[in-house]
Amino acid sequence: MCGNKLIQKTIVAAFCAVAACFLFPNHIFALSGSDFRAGNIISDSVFFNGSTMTLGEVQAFLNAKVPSCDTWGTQPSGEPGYPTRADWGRANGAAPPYTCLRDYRQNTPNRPAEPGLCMGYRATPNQLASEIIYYVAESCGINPKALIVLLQKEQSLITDDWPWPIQYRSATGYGCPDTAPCDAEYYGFFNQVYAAARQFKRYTQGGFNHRAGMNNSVRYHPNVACGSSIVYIENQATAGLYNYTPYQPNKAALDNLYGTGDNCSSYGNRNFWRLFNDWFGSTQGGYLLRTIDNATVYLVVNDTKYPISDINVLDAFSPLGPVGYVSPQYLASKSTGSVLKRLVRSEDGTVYFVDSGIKLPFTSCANIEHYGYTCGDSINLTSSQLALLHTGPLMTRVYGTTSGKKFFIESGKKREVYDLQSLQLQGIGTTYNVLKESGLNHLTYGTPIIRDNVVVTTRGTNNLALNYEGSLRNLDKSLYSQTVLSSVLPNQSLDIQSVDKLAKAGDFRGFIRNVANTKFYLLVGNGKVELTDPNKWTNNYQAVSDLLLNQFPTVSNGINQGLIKSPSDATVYYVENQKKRPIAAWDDLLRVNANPTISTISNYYISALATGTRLLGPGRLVKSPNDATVYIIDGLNKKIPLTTFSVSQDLNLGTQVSIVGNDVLNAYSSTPFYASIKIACGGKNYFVTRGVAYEVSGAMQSHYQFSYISLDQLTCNNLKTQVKPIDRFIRSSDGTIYYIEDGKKRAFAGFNAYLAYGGNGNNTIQASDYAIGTIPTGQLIY
Amino acid sequence: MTKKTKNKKKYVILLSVLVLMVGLGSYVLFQKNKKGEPHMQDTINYAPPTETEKKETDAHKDKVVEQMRSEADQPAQEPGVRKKVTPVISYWGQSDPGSNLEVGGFVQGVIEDGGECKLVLEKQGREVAEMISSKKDARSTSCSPFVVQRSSLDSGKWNAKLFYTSGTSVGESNQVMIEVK
Repeated sequence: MCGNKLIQKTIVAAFCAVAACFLFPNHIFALSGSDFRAGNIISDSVFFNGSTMTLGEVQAFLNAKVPSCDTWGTQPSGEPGYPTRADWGRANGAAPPYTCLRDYRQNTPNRPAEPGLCMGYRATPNQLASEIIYYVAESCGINPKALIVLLQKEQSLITDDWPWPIQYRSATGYGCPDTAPCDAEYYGFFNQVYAAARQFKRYTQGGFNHRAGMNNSVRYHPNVACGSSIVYIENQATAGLYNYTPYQPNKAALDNLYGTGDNCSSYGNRNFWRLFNDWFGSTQGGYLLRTIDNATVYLVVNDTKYPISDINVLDAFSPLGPVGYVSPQYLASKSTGSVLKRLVRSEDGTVYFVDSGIKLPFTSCANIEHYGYTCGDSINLTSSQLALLHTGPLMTRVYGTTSGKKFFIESGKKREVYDLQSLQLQGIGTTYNVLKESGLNHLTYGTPIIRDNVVVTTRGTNNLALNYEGSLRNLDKSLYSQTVLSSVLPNQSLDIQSVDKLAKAGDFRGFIRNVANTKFYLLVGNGKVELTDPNKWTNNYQAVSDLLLNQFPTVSNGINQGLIKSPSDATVYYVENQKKRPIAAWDDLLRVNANPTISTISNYYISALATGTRLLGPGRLVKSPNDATVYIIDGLNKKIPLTTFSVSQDLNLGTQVSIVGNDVLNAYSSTPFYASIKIACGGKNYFVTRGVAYEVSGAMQSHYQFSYISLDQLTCNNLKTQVKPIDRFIRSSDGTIYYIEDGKKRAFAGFNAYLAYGGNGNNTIQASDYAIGTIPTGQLIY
Repeated sequence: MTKKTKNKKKYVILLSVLVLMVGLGSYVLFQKNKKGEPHMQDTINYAPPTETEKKETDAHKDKVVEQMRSEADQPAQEPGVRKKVTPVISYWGQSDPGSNLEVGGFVQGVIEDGGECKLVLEKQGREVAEMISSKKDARSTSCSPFVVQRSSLDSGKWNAKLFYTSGTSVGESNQVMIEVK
């Protein structure tokens, strides 16, 4: 039971703690005195921003800080002998009623506009304190939050629930010396607020007690004996606070931030800082300032503002931000320096390059000049501003970018670097920093640093080129990606401006040869193939150095068969006469090569070869759609007119005829002779009948003296006939046997004559009647 | 279901809600306090005054009473007698070595224009003096800036003092050592 209660209590406590985190986030991370920076109590960008609150917010804030106003002083006074506040007030000349600031009203006077200070004020009757705060802030460009905090630290007016008239009279302490009565000239709430805001603007014009951007001796207390310390005042707003209240909190005051310190403690600037943090958040803004009406951002360094004309420069200096809004008068009080570049200088004279919030020291003015600047282009930053920039390594002549590029910086130009090996070959060091490329936007491109025998991709266009012997040769994308080029040669990208700076030498042809002009190659996926018949492909081979050639291994490949296809298309081509001829059917392919090897090669070659006429298989019977003439395809480019199918039947080519387009058929030249059964193949004559080619040789030649038509070897290969020797005896279908003699056929009158001439079953061939009919007839043999 | 089991279930639910809130709270606070991110002035704390602020407000009322009494008791300044005031040298330096020396100061206890501010620099018996007119500041009198020509100074350490004289007041500062580069 006890255990349960304990758990319950623990959970409730934890719940409350978490809820508190949400409700009072500013108080969870309590402010510490160690956070106080005497040289930077508040940033210019925060202090000189006159429009951080609406009028409604000012009034709501005043209402919130005095939830209940003790108008009649009825609360106990805490003073012996004076039971109520009213009693104590009367005793000090401050009788009720008391008007809390949230309800305070007065008639306000006119104030003229004063360039550089305030924009004036228009007299208004019965104006609320919130309105006075809001409009003075707006007129003078002072943060209304700073004015609210000023009213609190001087007279506690924000939280006082029974303020006395004297507190309004000297609301901001303006005109009140430390050791003398206040000056009546400035009495009154409006006068006090306006005079204070105006004075803070007046400080920006210089010539007062404390100076931003310098070491100042700031005292701890009006008592001189309490001493002082040197404070480097980083900005005008802080200098202004010290002009107004010339004391800094000592250690005792900071150690007890929400209480009192010792006899040498002063609290004005401490409380300003503490109250501002507690009520409105951090006092810290940046050094990058602009006005609401003008988008130009300036880097403010002491009394000078440097306009920033480039968003990348603004980004480079981002740790000095964020960009804060200040009044035009405040910015006008700063002299305008040159447009901000990326060079800054420290007090010891070191010049830095700034990028991405990092400062990188240069080693010499000569190096700076390579970067297109002079040492004089650098601006001095304060030590605290410099400290906001991270310190990086030394600036090098090689500049890497976050996008992966590298540049060698030389004489005000950026020379893009192909790779580190290219740098090494030129004897340049390879150490570099990686920074944003925008840091080099001011430099023009120089000739890139690149070595030979590498592939360059142009950024943006993705065009490829081979850098060969100091010049770029355009490289076909498919030739690159589908051949050994992509696996052997490095490929890096360069900007188009860099590519433009390189010499050009036309295209790189995939048809290459050695310099000695003795070997010719095509490139394939795994190397180079030596061509056995280079003229079949092209007569334009590009000479390539052995250095480059040797990078491609020589491989064997069936490419010399001339049967090729692309990786992306099933069409097979036959290469001849520097053309590619599509082969439409597998049968046609086999008629060209009975054991084909089809080589897949780069689309580059497919495109580079002109397209020839469709290839028809040798030995095929074809005709056009509108002509009855049938042809036998002879070889690759000829057609033989066929007068009778008896010939094709004897030649064993059948009778099936394919119809092909005129364009295809017309590309084949017609022979001056007709198809015949008397053919010559490979230098030998044949008498062909019934699918058998009878070789006419030796002594038979004088008897078979016919006109033989010469056929292409490819056609011969496709006849598919038996080859046999021939004798002088031929039998017709009706049984008549002929004796061939001197180019004529002589029929035997009887079987005995046949036998007498030596005829028998082995030397007598059976011929078609057509074949026999083609032989002239001689006399009978009896 | 027993009472014990019911209680257990309740605790589990409560714990889950707690874990969720802690997670969410941590995220919110992490976002708010992320390192490197400047704090933005986007908050206005509308909470009622804290006890510290109330105490300081009460304490200030005591100071007001003190001030009122002090003003009432302030003796009238005798004619011809100048009040003793305390000049202070508050800054000095050169923008670059070899450039002119700039010195600033002010006078506590008086607010007036037209007083005589005199800066005296002394080094090994040699004195260099500069004079300017004072001007009113919010709560003091400004004697700034003195611009001393670098050509009239040699490098090294100089002792500096600020003297103030007007129809109403007179005083001199403590000596400070200024190094001229």
